[in-house]
Amino acid sequence: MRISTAWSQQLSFNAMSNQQTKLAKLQQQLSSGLKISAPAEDPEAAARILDLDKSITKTDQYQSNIAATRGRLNLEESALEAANNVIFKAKDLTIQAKNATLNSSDRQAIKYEVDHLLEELAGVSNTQNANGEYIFSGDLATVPAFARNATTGEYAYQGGLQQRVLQISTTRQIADGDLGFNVFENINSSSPAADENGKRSVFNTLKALSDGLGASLNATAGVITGDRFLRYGLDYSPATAAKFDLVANGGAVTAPIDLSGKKFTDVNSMVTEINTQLTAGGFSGAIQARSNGNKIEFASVATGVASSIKINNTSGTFLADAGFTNGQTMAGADAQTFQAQLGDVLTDLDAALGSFLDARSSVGARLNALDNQESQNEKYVIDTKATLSETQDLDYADAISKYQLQTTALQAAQQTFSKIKDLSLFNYL
Amino acid sequence: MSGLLSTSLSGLMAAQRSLETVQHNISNVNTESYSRQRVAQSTMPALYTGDGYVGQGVHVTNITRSYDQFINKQLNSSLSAFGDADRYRQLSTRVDNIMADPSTGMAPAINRFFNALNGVADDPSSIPSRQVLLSETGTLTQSFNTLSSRFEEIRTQNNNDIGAMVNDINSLAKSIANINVQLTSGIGRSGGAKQPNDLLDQQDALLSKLAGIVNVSVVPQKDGSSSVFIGNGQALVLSGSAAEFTAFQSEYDPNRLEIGLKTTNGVTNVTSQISGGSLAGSLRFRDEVLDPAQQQLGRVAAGLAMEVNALHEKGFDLSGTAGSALFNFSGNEEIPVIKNPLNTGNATVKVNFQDVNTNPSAAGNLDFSDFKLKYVNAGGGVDYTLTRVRDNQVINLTATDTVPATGVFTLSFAATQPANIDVSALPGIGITVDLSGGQTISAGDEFLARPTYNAAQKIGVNINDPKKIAAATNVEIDPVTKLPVLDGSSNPVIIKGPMPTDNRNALQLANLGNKLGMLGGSASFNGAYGQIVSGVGGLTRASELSSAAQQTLLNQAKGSREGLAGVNLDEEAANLIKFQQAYQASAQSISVAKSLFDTLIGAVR
Repeated sequence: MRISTAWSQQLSFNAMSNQQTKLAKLQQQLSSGLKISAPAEDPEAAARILDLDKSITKTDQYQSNIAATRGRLNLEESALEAANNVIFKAKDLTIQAKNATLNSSDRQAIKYEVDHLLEELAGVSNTQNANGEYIFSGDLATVPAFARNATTGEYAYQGGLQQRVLQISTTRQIADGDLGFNVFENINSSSPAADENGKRSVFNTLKALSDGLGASLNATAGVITGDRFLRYGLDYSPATAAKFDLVANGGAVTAPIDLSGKKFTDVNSMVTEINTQLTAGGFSGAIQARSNGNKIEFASVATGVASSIKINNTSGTFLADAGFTNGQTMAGADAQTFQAQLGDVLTDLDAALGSFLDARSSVGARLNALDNQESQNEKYVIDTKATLSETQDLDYADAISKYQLQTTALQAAQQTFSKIKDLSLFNYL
Repeated sequence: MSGLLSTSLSGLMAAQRSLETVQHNISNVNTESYSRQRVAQSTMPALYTGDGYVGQGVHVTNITRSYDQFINKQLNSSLSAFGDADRYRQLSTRVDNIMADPSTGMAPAINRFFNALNGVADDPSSIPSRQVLLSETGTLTQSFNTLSSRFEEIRTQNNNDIGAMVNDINSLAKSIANINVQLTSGIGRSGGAKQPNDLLDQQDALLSKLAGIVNVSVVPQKDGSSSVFIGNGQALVLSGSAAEFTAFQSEYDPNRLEIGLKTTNGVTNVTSQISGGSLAGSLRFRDEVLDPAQQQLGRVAAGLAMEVNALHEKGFDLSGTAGSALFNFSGNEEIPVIKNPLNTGNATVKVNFQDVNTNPSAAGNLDFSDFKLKYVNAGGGVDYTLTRVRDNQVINLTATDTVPATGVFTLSFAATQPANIDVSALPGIGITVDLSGGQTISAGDEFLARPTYNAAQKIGVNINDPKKIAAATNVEIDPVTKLPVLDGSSNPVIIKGPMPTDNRNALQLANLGNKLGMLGGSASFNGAYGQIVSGVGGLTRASELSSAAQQTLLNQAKGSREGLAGVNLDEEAANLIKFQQAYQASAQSISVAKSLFDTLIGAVR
């Protein structure tokens, strides 16, 4: 077969150029450490690498979510421990105070100590984390969980209603705290001072202890509380009906309230408006509206068993909006004896301890779950990284041996080229 | 006796011609498309004498080139096929490299965006974590913009290339026509007996160059000229005249070039007839790689913006006000609609993305194709047809015969669709036709809607205040039962005020990253992007393989042409010696003749 001179040169050049391309490719692989430098080299692997990368970064994010949650739960755990200690001390003091041999000045000394404990517990319930968030305030963590009402002297929960959850795996979410409402306020009680749902806040229990020690054994009034979140008010503008009647002291007084067409931006303005209407109707001596944290409550001014308060709907949706039921009623109670009051306090402090214990065991369970999930995530990341490495990382031994082979091939091509180039009949003319 | 001299002389002359031809071959050893030449010689007519026929020497009958029409045809078709495959490969490799380039980093940007959302969910009241989310949102939209503009750069360059190739075709066609004229006269001069070899080589070289740009069919004519046709018989060169190609802007998109052939009646669009050659490679790349990649990227951008915005707008920000769109790409963002300039009516058509809150699968069912709406006025329930441009699939629209011919009305998809259209996965777009205020529409009017084409370019961040990120849902929860509080009509009650550490919406937004909401519910946003990468990678890989295969075929064709027509220097050296010796022998016989004369004259003296 004829071979033209130019073509034989071209063929040698093509051969060398091919070798050089392969060599350059290998060199790129060796210097980057990656099998694939462009998706075209393995399209399916390129897409898989993106998927694996996504899984890894996502899981890394879950790991940092876990770390954040753990920090918050640890903080809550130590706050709950502090609260536990407060209650233990309070229980000791109660038992001490029940001793009939104590005189009033002894009791007064204990009262000071109890007052101090009450403040300490309030401080614990308003624990802030490093970001300045009140850890027991739920989704309203910029305000303290419990605030002292200036008129009644009672602590009321004013935080949010929902506990924040964080994502700790694709399918798993975990709460990073507990609502102060559930831990400190919503505690079962059989004391006559319990609210209409049979609950008594631990702050109220301590306050009752303090009051008893201060020899102010008061009869209680009928109080009904709406259980809806009214922090940001209610809106009946421009012309929505909102009328209801407040009936006090077994039907002796019936006060009609009309909030139709009015707009309130917070609970206090609503309280003010209702109290204004009560005063205007001459009912202020019998009925009072008050704010309880984010809620509204109506109280009979009179105390004792004869005192009662009841709410009846007239028109509109105020009762549902504020969290009352139609006809919701509550009667007051006569003053207890000192021993009876302290007996109830003792029971309720145990109930509070129970509530703290529930919260602590729930926190412990969650910390456990975090640990489990963390090690699962860790294992997942390690496995995924192994797959990723298999997919994208270069097998150096293989690549280097290929590189050597390729270098030899290129050298051979170059040497034959220079040899063949010298072969020409013209050299012999 | 005089015969002795003239016979020697004829040998001398023939050897000289042969030597000249060998020299010509040697000189052109590196000339492209050169075909080696050979001197054909034969004996002179013999002289009849009483002794018989006496040979009168040699004469040169022709100088021929080594040429095979079949081999040349094969070479040209290989050149076309390789030109096509290689241009396609070069261009798709560029897109492929952009996809692989970590600095464009679409996938990491998507990951970081959702991680930043998780960060806000961890700490919703923290301004720094909200700021991180905003800047990650900025990075994400930047990445979409950057990638899209790099596609645009490639498109501009490809358009420039197409223009340059069209110019090349025109100048090559002119040169071929010129050579046709010279060939006709050159061949005519010898009455068709002698070939102007070098001119023919030049013609072949031009045709090969042309074949590299566009597939042509060459028909040799009797007068020696070559007629050149493209496609199904559009004449490019006919003897001495060359037609002119032109690259012109598409009526729907000024950035899209079409190929036309100038005729006396105007310009004929021959884009669909272009096959083979680098021009076809450029056009094929645009239609098969670049446009789909850009549209699919736009679909990811549009889908992401639709889903995130819909959810973000349902949430509440740090000050307790309802969220606004996070991306400046609202749920009912208008889609660019281009009117065909030939429309006789002046009606306007509006196309918009459906709201994910109304149609939850609007983002999942987005199609990356353009859509063409045509008013056909066919009656019987068919007034408008909607064509999915990528595969020319018709999607049925509901009967509009009952629609008054004035006012603004909405076209909706029909319940029954052609067999290969999934009724549950109709594209997430809404179409309205505006015939109000005396606007008219005529049968045959066309509108092109391009939902995803510009989406990646247009996407941006709508919010610049970190407080405006709607991390909260503000749904009121009963703290004891932990269930949402319902109002009179069983809808969750929304708290109308700031809930600064409510992270529920941020959690839902962060989980959108895991949602298989794209491509008909089969892929996450990242997965949808991964499919573009593997799609482009697959096409590039295929193009590399076919380019390599075509390279081999081309080398074989070149090899067989070179084997036949190429110059081998060793062969020429041997010929050189052969003809040199023939020359020397002839010269020697002249010297013999001279001494014979001298002998004879000496004998007479």
